[in-house]
Amino acid sequence: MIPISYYLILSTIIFTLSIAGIFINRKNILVLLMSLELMFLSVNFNLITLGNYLGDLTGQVFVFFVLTVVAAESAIGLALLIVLFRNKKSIDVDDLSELKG
Amino acid sequence: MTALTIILLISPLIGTLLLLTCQNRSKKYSILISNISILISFLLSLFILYLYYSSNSVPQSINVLTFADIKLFSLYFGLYIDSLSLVMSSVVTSVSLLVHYYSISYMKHDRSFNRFFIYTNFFTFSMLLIVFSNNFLQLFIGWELVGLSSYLLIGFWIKKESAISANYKAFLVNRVGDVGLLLGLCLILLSYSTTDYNQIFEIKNSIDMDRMDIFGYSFSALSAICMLLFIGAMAKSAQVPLQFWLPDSMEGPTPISALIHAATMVTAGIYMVARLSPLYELTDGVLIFILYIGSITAFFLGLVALVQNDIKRIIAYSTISQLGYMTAALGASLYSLAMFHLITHAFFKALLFLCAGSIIIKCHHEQDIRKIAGLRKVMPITYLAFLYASLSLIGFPLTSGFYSKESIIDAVGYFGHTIPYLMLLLSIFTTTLYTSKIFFKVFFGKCSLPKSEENNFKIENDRQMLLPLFVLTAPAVFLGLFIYDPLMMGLLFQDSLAANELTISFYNNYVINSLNFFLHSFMTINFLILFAGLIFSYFYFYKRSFDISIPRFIRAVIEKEYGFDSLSRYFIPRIQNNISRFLWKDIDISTIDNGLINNTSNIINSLSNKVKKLQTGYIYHYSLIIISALILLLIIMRIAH
Amino acid sequence: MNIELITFIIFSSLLIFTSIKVITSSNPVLSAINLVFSFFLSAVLWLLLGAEFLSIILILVYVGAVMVLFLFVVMMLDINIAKKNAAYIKYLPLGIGIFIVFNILIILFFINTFENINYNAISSINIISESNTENLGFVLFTDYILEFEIAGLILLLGILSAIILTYRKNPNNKYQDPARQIDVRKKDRLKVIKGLKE
Repeated sequence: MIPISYYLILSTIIFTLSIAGIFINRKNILVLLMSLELMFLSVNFNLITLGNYLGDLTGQVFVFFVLTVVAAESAIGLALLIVLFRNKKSIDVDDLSELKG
Repeated sequence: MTALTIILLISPLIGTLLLLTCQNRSKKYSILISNISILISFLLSLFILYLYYSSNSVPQSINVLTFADIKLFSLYFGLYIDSLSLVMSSVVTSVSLLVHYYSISYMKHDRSFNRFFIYTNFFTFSMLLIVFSNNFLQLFIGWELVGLSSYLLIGFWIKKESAISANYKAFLVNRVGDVGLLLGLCLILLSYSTTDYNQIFEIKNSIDMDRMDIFGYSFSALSAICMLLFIGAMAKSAQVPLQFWLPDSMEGPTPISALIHAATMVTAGIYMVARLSPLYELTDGVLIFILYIGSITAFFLGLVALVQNDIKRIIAYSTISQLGYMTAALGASLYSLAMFHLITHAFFKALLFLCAGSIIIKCHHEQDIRKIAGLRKVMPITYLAFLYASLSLIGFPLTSGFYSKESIIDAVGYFGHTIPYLMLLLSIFTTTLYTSKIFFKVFFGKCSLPKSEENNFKIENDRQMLLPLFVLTAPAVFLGLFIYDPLMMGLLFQDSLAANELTISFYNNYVINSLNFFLHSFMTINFLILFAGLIFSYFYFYKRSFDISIPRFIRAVIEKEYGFDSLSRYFIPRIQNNISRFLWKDIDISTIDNGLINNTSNIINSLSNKVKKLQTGYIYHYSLIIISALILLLIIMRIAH
Repeated sequence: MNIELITFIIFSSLLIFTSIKVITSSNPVLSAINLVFSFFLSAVLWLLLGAEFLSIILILVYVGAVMVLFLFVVMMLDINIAKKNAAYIKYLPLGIGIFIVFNILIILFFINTFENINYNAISSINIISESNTENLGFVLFTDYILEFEIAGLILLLGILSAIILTYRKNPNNKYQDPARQIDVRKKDRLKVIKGLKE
């Protein structure tokens, strides 16, 4: 049996990698979305692992719902991305600062 | 009797309301209504007066209407029917009636004829409200209504700038007094929990030892009340230092001056103090203050009259001076004598003003006595009326003014008030001088009117204007003789004035009766001064056999009315102006507007300008902040673990 | 060293590697492909955890649908693939710094917390049978039926909003407008012409 902390450490590494991805990517908002997917993946890892650890099926049920929401989220996110690209002809992160105070 | 008194009281009010609703009717209509309403009041007050004395009634205090009846105190509209109020109402209504009648022809060419009678009727009603009030609230209401109607009447000619400023001034000065009156009223409510005269008179003995402490000074509540009420009376009755509104009030029509000076306004203060005489008797120090104020007013404002040249202003200053006599009499606890002088003064002063009104009309609104002369031939009846009124004013033996004034002076001297006595004595001389100054200048010498008018057949004014002169001459000359004895024996104002014993003792010890008083007066110093004054003015004003040059400085001081007027006109407004400017510029604009309001928004603005830099709009900046917070949280958890 | 642990180490290191490739590659297509790989790898790891149904779903939904969508979008958009610019280099240390600090903190936290591992717990999630799919289905359709339906609604919402956001009316196409069809009046259609005299 693999120690549970291995899985947790793995998910942490993926999570922090995706955070780092958000920071180092200044060119493409698409990659940011992919980082988000990666982040969700690591969270799902945690949920499954800890669900097993606690002997509760709710963890897996929750992952199921997360997958559903993420599917909807990425659909809407990509739709927004397309609208954005249509209007601004760019998906450069640096160009997106309309909410600047 | 109550019902009749109510009719008496509200008759002028009904007249006012009728006139008010029918302002566009003809002049005849307003003449009819105004005169009849006052006539009803007059006849009723004479009738009630007769009833009162013939049936030996006792003073009655009747509550007619209830304004409010709460636990602390009750407010009523009530009537106080006694000899004092009835005599006063007779005087007020008689003078008012004659003035109304006189005004018909005096005002006949005025465009606001109807408005005039609305105001005068209301004026009479307000004064009657004071006269018959049996509680302080009603007194205060009447007091304010008198102030209001005098304001309206002094500024009757609303297009005349000086009239507007004069009525403004009168109103403001009266406000100063009203503050005193109102404070006194509050203090009464505070210490007696009632506003009813009788209840206060009844419990005064138990409460006058109630002492108050303000700023470390201890004094009785009663004295404070009386002092504050007297401040109100000072403004209304034009006593130093609140006297300077009265000469300016001459800007109104002359009948109004007669009304204000004789019956309806300036007497209110004297009447109030007399009415509250049971209270004033128990105070310490207030009466002495009143005595000095009165005698100072009598002497110094008489001096001012000497340097004036406007006929109405001279008479106005003489009113102030005569009011000083009354106030001095009040201060010497001689309340009945003060009322006596008030009554006689009402008649002869009304007569003087009505004569002055006739003269002014005749001379086409010329009021400067240097430009009026030689009217004796032109206006013989006015001349005679003026002569009698003047004799009464200077206190020539046997006239009304003689009895009232001489008895005040003698009594003040008899009870040992030396300095006021001297001042009152000296003002006999000044009274003589300024009265004869008008008299000789106006009626003697070369006639100032154009030749054509001098030989006019219709030499006098309208007959309507002459009748009041005739009627008024009788009380102005003879009233004193008739009511002297009952008054001095304490019969006239029986049960209504305190300290009647004082006058009775004076009467018994000093003189026996009116005739004796007359004979006695020839041997007193009063007559000597009067005589000297008459001789002096005969040679100075009539013969012009010598000329006296008064030092310019003294003349200036007197002409400036000892600076009270400038004080009110320039000095106090300047202080007020500076304070207001300080409040406006430094407090309101600098501190509140800029300091508090604008500064708050500026601070918030600059702060948010700094804070909004955090909101860059870049996703990675936001996530950096989130991640930093998360890291911080983890570190804290780590340490806590 | 059992086979399970070996599998875990191989796949987890591959997962980390592909994740790094996702965030560092300058071409979005490459990122997307790497993301697909990392989903495959994590599906294997989920199998190790005993979540068979979810690992299959991950491949079907993510790889089959979401990632295809990503690739579609990448190709739809005319993105010029830039070289690693100066900003990338500039922010790389920050990313690495955050990566290290965060990892250390969380890993320290986990190591201290999960020292005693309960191996028996995994058997208690098998409620009705050995099959993970059956267990999950049982729970989903009984205890979580309401949430399940809400999830369906959320998906519907996702579809609708994606359509509304991206839908563009083509002026060349012919459409019906029911409102205008109903609103039509006689005089709009019928034009009465006075008959010509013959």
